[in-house]
Amino acid sequence: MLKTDKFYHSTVSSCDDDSLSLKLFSALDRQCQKREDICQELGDIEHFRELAKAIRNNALSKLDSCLSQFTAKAQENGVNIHWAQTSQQACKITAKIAQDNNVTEIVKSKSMITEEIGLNQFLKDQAIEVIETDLGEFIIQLADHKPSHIVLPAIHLSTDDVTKIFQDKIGYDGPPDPESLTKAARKYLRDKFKSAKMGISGVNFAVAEQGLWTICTNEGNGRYVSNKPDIYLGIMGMERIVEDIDHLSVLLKMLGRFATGQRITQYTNLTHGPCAKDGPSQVHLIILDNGRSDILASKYRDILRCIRCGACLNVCPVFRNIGGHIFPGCYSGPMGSVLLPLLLGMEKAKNVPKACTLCGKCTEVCPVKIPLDEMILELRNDASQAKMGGIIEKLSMPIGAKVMQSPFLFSTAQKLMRLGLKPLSKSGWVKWLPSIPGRWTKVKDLPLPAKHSYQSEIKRKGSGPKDE
Amino acid sequence: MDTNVFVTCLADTFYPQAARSVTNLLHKMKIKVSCPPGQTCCGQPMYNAGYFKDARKAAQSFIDLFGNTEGPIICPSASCAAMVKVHYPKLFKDDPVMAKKADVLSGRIYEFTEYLVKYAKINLADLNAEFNDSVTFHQSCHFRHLGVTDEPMNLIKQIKNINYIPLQRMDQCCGFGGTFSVNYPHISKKVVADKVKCIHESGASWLIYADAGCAMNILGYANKTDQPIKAMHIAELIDKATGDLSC
Amino acid sequence: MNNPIIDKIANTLKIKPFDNCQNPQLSIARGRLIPKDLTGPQKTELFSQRAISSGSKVHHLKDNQALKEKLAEIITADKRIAIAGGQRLKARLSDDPAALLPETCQYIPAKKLDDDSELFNLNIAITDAHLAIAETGSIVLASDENYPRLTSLTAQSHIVILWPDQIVADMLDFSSALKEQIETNPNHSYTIISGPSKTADIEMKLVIGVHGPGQLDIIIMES
Ligand code: SF4
Repeated sequence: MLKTDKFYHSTVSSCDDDSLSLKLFSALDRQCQKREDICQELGDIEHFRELAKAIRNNALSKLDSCLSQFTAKAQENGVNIHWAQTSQQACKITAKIAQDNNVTEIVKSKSMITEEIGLNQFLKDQAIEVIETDLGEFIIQLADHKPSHIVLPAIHLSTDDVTKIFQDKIGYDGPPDPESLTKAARKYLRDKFKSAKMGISGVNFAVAEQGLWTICTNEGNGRYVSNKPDIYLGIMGMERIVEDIDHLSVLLKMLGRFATGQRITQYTNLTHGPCAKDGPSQVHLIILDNGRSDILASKYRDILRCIRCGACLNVCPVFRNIGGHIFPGCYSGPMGSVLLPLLLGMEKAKNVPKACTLCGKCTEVCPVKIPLDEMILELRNDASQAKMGGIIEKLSMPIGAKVMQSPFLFSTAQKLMRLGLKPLSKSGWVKWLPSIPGRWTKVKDLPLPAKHSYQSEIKRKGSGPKDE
Repeated sequence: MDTNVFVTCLADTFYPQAARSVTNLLHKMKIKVSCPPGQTCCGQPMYNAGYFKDARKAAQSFIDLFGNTEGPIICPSASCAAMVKVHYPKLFKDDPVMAKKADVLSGRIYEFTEYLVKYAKINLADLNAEFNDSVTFHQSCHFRHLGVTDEPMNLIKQIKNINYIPLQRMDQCCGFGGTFSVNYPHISKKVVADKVKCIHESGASWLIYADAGCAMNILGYANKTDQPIKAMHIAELIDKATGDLSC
Repeated sequence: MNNPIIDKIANTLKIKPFDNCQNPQLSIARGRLIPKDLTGPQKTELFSQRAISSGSKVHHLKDNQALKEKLAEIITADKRIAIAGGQRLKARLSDDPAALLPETCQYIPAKKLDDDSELFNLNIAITDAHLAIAETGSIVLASDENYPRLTSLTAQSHIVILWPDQIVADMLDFSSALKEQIETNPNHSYTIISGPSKTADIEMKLVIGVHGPGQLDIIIMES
């Protein structure tokens, strides 16, 4: 029914790969279990979700003053603030900071925003090498893949896959087990941490009042990139801010629990500015718009509350079968289905919101109560109004509505359907249909409509109890 | 008070026994029930496909028809109940006259089990419900929108001698999703395959469902892949379990 | 300052303000998970439990003699050791912490750590803590010239020495403490450490000791 595109065809090949869904199911079931277990400690989870939502809304509702306060404070603390309206600008600023300081090698911790702006490629073209230091990101950088999950970038790969990648790319000759592979990555990356003069990270939350920001990691790479090199650059989406440090505390409680089922991640780094020792001497921060101010002005502004915990991906029945790296951008799953059309434009992502059963599980789990399924519906409506729905849909929906408006047409349609399907059926099931209905019968049989619809039956017999 | 049954288009067409069981049971409970003639569909298919304008037309017919009745509207489908309860008010938010009518219906609609538990506060033990077999239950997604959680399971557990076996990932979607299932049949197939696998692994003799859409999807896949499942709507189960009540 | 992004945001919010956006400050106290009035021993107990559950080792010690013995037990054979926060530790222990180290190990003074080859060649980092949080079983380090943050990152193993009065109950107590700190002494950055470095990036299998230390020993001294 929809116009197929690259995304559509990729979903087909992902679905053909049973090993992918096996990996995803086992990883995501575990991830969900861990979240559920630790969230019991919250007691009234609903209360915490409301609170987290209010904290995010509070910051968004005065985003202009939060950002002004934050940047003034951070500058006072010695941070160089840069504003970027577009990806391109953010990339250029980054390159300039590197070039001004003769940097040719950068260590970077996992950050979705740098994926969003395509930073690695941009810097590579400027002969600046970026080394991903989060183990998962490091693996997919070697393999030249995109992240398949915003929190777990390499869950689409097995231990054997990783072994092969390490053998090919970094001359690994150890055994195929996660422990040894991790040790090899540690050794490789330690040298980079030692030599790199510049580190880059994303920003989990910036705090307006104190002008500081946090990055959360479990491995310690976030600490390295923000503490060890002389120059540290943070890149943040302009919405990732909270008003005050108490608000940060509450969101940290939520992020750890919802992202990885931890009370808090192993390491939370709070950067307050340059340090003479035990930290970078030069600190920069890029604040990026890249479409966010348009989202703020739209009916989709609630998505700006997102804290990138990935919980919505973990519960999504569709994501579990197709994974994340086929999405037309770095975000995936329910949050990606909302964000991508907004960031890339509907034309480039029109089929993404359609790859959703509207089960609502994402909305149920989201720690900041973003109505993801409603937004997906809203996006579908936008697409149909912009006439991107595909010709068949466009024609069939008004006809459907006509039929539904008329009891006569409706009951006639019911009868015709049975009449038409009867000859094609066998013991109550239709196994084959042509054309679009064939997309159903290709994978499922269709039950034959009942001999008499309920309404026609009571018309004949009345609606009394059956023994009457 | 009088009640009204909203049959829903899928149950009307494919699973009339579900609606019949709802009426039977209400009769047994001595509740007066009528089935307003001329029902079609709540408009959910268009709404979910993102054609709000067309959905509004179907919704208008529903509102016209049921707006003239009184008392609770009972519907053997969580998704259709959610459509009326949750989505109608949103659909008409820019039309004050219709919005008012939609709000009224939103307050009157009940999914079948929701009605029994929250409104009628029924205990099936009082009706001597009994069923001598094992069942498992697929929790339709749209219960979520209705704020219904354990209600269906609790009803099932009130039935004497029933062996209720919880389904693994019971509230995970079956993969139907309306137009989704023809837009992305390959994804839908994988989602439903997991559901069918969990149903078989439960070892229960019966699958109990609460939405005709889920039933078409799950049973259709099971049949296509030669792993048939015996299934019935939760209204049928309760109707069966309460027997021919001659009181 | 004229900033087109902020101007655009301000404009948007003026035309389309967020409605009924409740001020979270009203209910922020309800974001508390651990009661503020926990007694000292209760806080210590909770802290230990939670630190252990996230992979740290916790030792409760009576006095300097016990500390000396514990260090001798943890620090086997010929290890290269750095100590950060030595002055503060010295004050609280009323003893030079370096003097408590086993004789077989090699003490690396802070000024040598300017050299990366020394910094990256540490076996053990000993630090004091700035604060500790019972709710999460975390300790908090503040940057200073003795490299507590860097040594506790590059070393294979990290030993923290802590006193019960440094433990706050909830993350929210941590934030009020930090607020004060920053006001009085703004020139630090902080790291909250909640256990050893870990990953599950390969097939969700837990591996300890990725980039940071694979072992975190938290020593709680009796006051
Ligand atoms: S949308 Fe909600 S659940 Fe999904 S990543 Fe964002 S915060 Fe987490």
